[in-house]
Amino acid sequence: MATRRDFVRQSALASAAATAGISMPLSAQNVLLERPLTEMKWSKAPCRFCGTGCGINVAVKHGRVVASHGDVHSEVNRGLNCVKGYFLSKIMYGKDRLTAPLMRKRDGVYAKDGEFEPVSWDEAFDVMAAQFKRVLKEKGPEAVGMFGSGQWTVWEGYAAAKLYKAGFRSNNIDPNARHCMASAVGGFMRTFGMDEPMGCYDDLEHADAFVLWGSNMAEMHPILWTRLTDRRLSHPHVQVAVLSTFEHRSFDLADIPIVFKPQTDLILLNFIANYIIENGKVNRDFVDQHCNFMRGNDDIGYGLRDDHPLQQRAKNAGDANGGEKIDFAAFAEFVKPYTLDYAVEQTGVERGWLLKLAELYADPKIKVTSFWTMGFNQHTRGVWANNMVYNIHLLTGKIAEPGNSPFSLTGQPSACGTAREVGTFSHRLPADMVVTNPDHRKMAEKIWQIPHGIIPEKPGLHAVQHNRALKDGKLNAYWVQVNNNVQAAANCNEETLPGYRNPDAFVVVSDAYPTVTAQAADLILPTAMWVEKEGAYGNAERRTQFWHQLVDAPGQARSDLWQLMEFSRRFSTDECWPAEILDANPEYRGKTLFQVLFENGKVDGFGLEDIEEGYANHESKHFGFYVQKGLFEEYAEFGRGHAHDLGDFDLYHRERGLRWPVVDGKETRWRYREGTDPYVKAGQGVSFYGKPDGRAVIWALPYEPPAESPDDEYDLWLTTGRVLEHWHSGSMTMRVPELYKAFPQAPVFMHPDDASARGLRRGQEARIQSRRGEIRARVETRGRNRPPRGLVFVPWFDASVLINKLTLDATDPISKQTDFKKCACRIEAA
Amino acid sequence: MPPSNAPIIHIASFVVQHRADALPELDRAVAALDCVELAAREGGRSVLLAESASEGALLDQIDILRQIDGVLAINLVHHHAESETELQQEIADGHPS
Repeated sequence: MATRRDFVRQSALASAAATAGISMPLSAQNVLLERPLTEMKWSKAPCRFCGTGCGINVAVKHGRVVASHGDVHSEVNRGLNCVKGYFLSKIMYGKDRLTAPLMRKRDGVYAKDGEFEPVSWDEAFDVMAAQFKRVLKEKGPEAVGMFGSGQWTVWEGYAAAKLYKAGFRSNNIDPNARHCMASAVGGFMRTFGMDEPMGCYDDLEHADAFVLWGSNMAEMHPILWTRLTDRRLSHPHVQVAVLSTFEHRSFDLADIPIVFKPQTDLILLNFIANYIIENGKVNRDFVDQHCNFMRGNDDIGYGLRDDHPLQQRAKNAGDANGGEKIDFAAFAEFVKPYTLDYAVEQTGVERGWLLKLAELYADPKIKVTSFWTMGFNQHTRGVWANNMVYNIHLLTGKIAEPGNSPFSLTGQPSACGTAREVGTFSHRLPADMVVTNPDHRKMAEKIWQIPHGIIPEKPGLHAVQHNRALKDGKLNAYWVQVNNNVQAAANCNEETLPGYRNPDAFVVVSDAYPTVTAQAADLILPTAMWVEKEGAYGNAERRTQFWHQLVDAPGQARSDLWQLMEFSRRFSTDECWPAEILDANPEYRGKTLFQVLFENGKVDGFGLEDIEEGYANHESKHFGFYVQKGLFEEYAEFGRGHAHDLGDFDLYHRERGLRWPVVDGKETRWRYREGTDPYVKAGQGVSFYGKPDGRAVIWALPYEPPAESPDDEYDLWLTTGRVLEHWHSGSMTMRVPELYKAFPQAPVFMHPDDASARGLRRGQEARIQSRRGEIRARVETRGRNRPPRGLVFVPWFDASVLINKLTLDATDPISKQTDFKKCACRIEAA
Repeated sequence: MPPSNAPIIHIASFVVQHRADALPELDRAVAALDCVELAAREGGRSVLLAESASEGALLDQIDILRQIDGVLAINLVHHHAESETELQQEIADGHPS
């Protein structure tokens, strides 16, 4: 007679063997042919950590998640699951989980300088609504705002964007994807006129070479890294180039290891373009048929406050996104100075490696996939870097076909699906539309069934401006959901914290845990997370994935979606919309925002009977209709027929995700190419249909220096980033004691010679200072991250080592994304 | 998770990708660790089975393996956490019915 333990061990073993493609002895297989009677119920869900979008099977017993394993039916991860996934089931069960609203109070009433006390949802929303109404009345919609996330589910982001843009008439809503993906978005829009990668993860099994531009995939995207490693080891001709400003775990597999000086990636990119041209390797047919050339405006500033000297000196700070049309000859002339000698001198990389790298792109027989994440995106010239890597793929025609793929990876589980596709950016509407375009606003107003003129045309404040406007007293009612921005935003001492604690600001933070951001708020709302609600995420390869609610949230925690919709009931159109619009459309008078936004015949168009049997759904039960289905179907109207097609709602509960555009129930793996993309007409071959003439743009862009570089006073480069065990700010993973133990405190990784030159030894506490602040951290001279001399690396997961006290809030002037990778610091013994 | 006062046993399986030259060191390390055992191997892949009442110890041991030169990736496949008492329960029939 076997025990339950035997069964679990055999299950664990057999699923691992199946995933690894290893055959098992028969004795080990038997037990799995049919599961013994058990109270466990298994359901599918995507992982909620990074942008890879792995499929997970989750087991629930007695209302709690007890087990998880990689979903063998998921094309993304094929049964594997990285070490972060180990903690999926535990992230919901941290001891300090928030289970009731908490409000700062003194003498029984709300007070900005009060202490947190538990309150009911009614009291929380009463005070919050009164504050929002006061601000709307006194200062108008431009003084209210919201900061959301790429961890919102698709319908949460959609409901939030709709509530703000159509309900409150404020475009001051932005996601934390601004810190993560905004430069990638800017790159896509400028080059292709359409967001998100043309390829998909299948490129991993087709490429002959991989180039990692500022991406530590081994730690940040371990499952994709595993697929890449498989390809490399099983096909000896495959080459891997790893580029970074310091050595990290991905260098273990590098055939071409390149450590370059910060910011000189721009020089590397132009050098490769020049190499391709000088060596006659341009695919002229492709370029002539499918590309245009532009010279981008240069000297565009650093997205700092307008009175900053660097901004005032910049010639094109006011028109960073502009440019002029040029031709191929002018482009060739533009990149001519980026010779091999110049590149060697400026980047500090050996000649031989540069030639090998350039040849990967230049050789028409080598299929190249380029990957990048924050190294490119968190960059004061991040949009340029994105444009410039597309340049080299376009010059050679190595694009939009299996294995030839410039591929922007994402950090958050739904940075694509929610932040980007739904349009939660301050300038966007769903399906790549923008608020500045009158036709786009009109279309959105039609789908939303609201009067014309409701959506404001002026882009709202972006993430970095949020903190500045809070500090300046211009943003006064502010709601943060699903993110930890006090820890995540740059220059937190001078901008973020003074903003949150400004007496003129009322700040609400919805979170599952008491993060530093929640603690800086005036009202904390307890949030349901992951499988405590029905959800949808969209990953980096355009794959939309659904999951059901599997367990109940603890205490009074409620999903962000419930919070948004319930809050909307407290506002009427008369309080939020201009009288002249209501005069012209009297049928909207006296309605609540809930009625006009969610009880509009579409969002409430599906009954509870449509919910799959056996699954709870706390929002739908509360509101009396299938909330998620209604929101999804309304949202899908934006993209259907416009190359952003999503399939039917119910399809996604059956499938392990589908990559849009989904046309006639079929997903699209490679866009812009005839035969694989239904939007490319027969005979076109290739069409970059995001641009009106079907041509992608090759941009002539120069090297420009970073906003701050080391000097005599601050003599080291400081770069920040993540480590495998902790995801982003650590607000979930730091709750898991075992993870905390594995990596208890963020160290400062530095070269041993730099340490000894400062009289520091490994393990010693050091003071790290920049022009903006100081932190203390322990010196680490060994291990997985090995900086060159002159550069130090500090991870940012640790709230007790707030590295963003030191970072500079310089942003890419086009994308408004902060450069967390480059500023100057100095280090001495504590 | 089961009720918080019961001792919890963690059972997990991992797939290791490694270069051939990493095997001696990997095997030495696995033999020295008490939470982890080698369950299967083919080519550049090994399956590890791990069990422990201390999840911290289990993960520390996995992390030790991850630091070995030539170990390219260690990924989780299955993770189960349940109380010791529940895991000791006999099941009627572990074989197909």
